[in-house]
Amino acid sequence: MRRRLGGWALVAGAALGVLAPALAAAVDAAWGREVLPIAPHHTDVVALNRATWQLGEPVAEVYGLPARAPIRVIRPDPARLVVPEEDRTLVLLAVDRQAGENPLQARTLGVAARYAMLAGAALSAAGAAVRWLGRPRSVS
Amino acid sequence: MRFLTILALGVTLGLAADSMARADTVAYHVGHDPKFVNIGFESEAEFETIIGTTNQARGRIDGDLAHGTGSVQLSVGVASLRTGIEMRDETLRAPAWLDATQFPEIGFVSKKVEPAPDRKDAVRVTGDFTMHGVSRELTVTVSWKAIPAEAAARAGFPAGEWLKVSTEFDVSLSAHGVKLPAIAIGKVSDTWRVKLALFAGTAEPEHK
Repeated sequence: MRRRLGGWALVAGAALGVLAPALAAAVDAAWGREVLPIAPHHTDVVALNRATWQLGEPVAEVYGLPARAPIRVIRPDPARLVVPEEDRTLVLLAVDRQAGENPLQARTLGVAARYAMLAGAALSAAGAAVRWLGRPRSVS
Repeated sequence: MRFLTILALGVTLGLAADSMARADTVAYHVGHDPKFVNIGFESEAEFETIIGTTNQARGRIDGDLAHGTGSVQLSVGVASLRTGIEMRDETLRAPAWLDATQFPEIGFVSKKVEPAPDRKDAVRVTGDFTMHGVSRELTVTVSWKAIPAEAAARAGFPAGEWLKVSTEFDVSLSAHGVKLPAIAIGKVSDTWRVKLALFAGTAEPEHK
């Protein structure tokens, strides 16, 4: 019985170790999108910023406070995406932290998968140890 | 007698020059409405890039835009900081982090304002940045833009002159006496990138 449990743990651990990163990579590939998160300005402020914006000035700042660099986000809400008329290459994601918004980042998935992989490896090792300790021994 | 006349003339001219200089300095107030304030901080953590914001700030900017001089004082309530996760916000306000109960305000008071080199739309501001009860000298480049009255009126801003101000700078938590809990060391950055964009107006806020 103990050997059987050890065997299950060995297989389950190996499966977790392989599947978790694969699943994370698949989710990222299917739904991940690189965006520049912004803390959005009020609509009145955006209207004013757009009216006073001049060529050469930064564009993201017209719409909100931008993050330092683009971030890969899983399934960003399409309604919150902003592609500014002033620069069509930019994809901004309005995230209202004051309203409790915190979109899932691809990095979070990756780190969770890494921890799951480690947990899987530990489970496999424990299962292998249980199997080995419970092996039938020859009576001499 | 001639000496007294010259002295009187000198004093009069001096007072006039001082009065003219003061006349160029305009007092702008911060805190009319949360929509005019957008302040954010960004920190790298193992699991994600943590971004927090507040729309609550109060203060005053006395600025002589033509000469790039003036003074600034600004304060933000720690309790108003939000990162998008309530439990994390509570942790941020807790004694182990910013300790909002003992140190409810993050503030900045300028000591020197001077024109930024090679830029007409910016000034270099040096002052004391206080967080967690610890003050550190900070020098930042602050961009400003005078908002035309008609553009401000069209956007629904209250009457008066308006100034758009923006800046960004780094803040070290440990330099301000914030000791990261052992569980967070190596997983959360000690440095916050702070960004600020706000509008200050000559009309006094109603809550004052």
